[in-house]
Amino acid sequence: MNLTIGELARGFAGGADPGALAASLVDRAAAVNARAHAYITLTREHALAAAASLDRGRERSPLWGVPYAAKDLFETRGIRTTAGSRVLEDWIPTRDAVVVSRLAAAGAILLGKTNQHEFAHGATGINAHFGTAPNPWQPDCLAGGSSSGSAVAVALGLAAFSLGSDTGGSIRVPAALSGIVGLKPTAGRVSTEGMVPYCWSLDHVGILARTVADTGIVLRAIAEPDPALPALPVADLPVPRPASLRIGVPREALLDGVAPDILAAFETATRFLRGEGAKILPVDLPDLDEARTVSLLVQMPEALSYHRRYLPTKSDLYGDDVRSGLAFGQFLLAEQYVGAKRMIERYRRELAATLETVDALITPTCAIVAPRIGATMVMIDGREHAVGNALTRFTGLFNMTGNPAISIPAGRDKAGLPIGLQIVGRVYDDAGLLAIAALLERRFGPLDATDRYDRFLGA
Amino acid sequence: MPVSKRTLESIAAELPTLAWSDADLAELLTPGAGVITGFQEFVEKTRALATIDLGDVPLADLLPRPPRRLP
Repeated sequence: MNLTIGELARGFAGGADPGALAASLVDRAAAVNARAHAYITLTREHALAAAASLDRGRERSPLWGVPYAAKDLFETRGIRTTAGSRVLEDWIPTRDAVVVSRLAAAGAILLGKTNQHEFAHGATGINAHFGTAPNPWQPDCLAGGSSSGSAVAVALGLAAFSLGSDTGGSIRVPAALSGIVGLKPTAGRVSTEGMVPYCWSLDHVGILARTVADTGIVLRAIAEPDPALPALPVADLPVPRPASLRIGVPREALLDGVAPDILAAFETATRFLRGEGAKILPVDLPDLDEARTVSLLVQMPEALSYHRRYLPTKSDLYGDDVRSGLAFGQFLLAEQYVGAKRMIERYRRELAATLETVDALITPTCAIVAPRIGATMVMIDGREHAVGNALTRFTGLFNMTGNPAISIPAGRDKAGLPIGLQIVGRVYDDAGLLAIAALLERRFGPLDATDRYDRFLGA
Repeated sequence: MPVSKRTLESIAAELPTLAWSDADLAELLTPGAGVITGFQEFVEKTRALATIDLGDVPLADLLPRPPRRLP
């Protein structure tokens, strides 16, 4: 299925049956799941019951009958929720996460719970227990994580959109590597209640979808209805006036080591915007290596604090990589954590000042395309980096500042792997961010990997 | 002086930490999983952070504040 949400709505208005579509998609997912590893749990009966209970009246939400998938760290009442870990392998929550409730109220149909890096504790999506979701374009490469299954399900056309979480890039990275759109809204725009936490200070709930417009439709349905916040547009996205746009780009030094094809796509984007009349202005950003250190100083102790409830009795059920990451948090000092939280405040003030001079920033989403499954280190600019660090180099800062950030597809490299561009907006200006993303989407167009489904089927 | 496994073992033995296996501590010092930087390299980076004078900047709130001029 490669239909947009708008096309699905027109189909349902014309009499198409949401239950039949949901059943078909679940069956297609089940047929390839041993290779695609997109889902941990498929919820066929639940989907059919939800479709049967839809109000058939004329007033329908834009998400009425639209099939979606949720990362397996969102609590789902009566449906197993593992967070990608053996630790929670048999956990059946008694409530829905707020975001799942909002989607149910909007008439969206949950097809299943998607695979992920265990407890969202990494950007590769590697999962020794539930299997590693391969890249939809090249199955010997990573789909990216931690929301790996959410990306693969959308890219292969097994769901119209999916929910993910993003603590350092876990929506934007798999979206970039898999060739789809991934949005991390402003912190607080979407409730994290009912989500298995990784790091309270940095966790965001967001969306993976095929187009920017679809992403906007879902965001309107799941956003917190807070009258104190700037509203999201209720209908179509605003059309930006490129001639009035000022777009910030990182100074050259920050782009050192970015893969040449990704750099070329980035330059194509800035050329396009300049051609449309936008002003492209170099801006200073914090040292991204330093920012990663600050992020880890917050992530590791917070993650350990949550997992204290399980570690004494279930330590052996964790993956080695996750357990060692939790051990990392044990040996940091409280004063370092406080210092990191103060650095975050400094980053927020600096970025807010920068975003008073420009409307948005553009960066590559990742410095590299999808690495091969099993690679643990990559070379960037003559230096070896852990794969996870390389993937999140450009994304992690904006989890600390809370700014909305989106990754959109920007073509593929010479080897055929997708490239993602990241756009970062002002705090709470999610609508403005989506409008600029939609403008750039016109230049690059969406990527369509749905025809790759058959390769997984026949692999 | 680099962090040694013995230092981590002593901290784990003498302070109210969780129990960590030899393998967990070894992975910290010589990471192979590709998820995190080695602990020693990380400690060096935190030394650099500690030299930054943050003045009276407070801790960040959980959520960012809306900008002065709302979009």
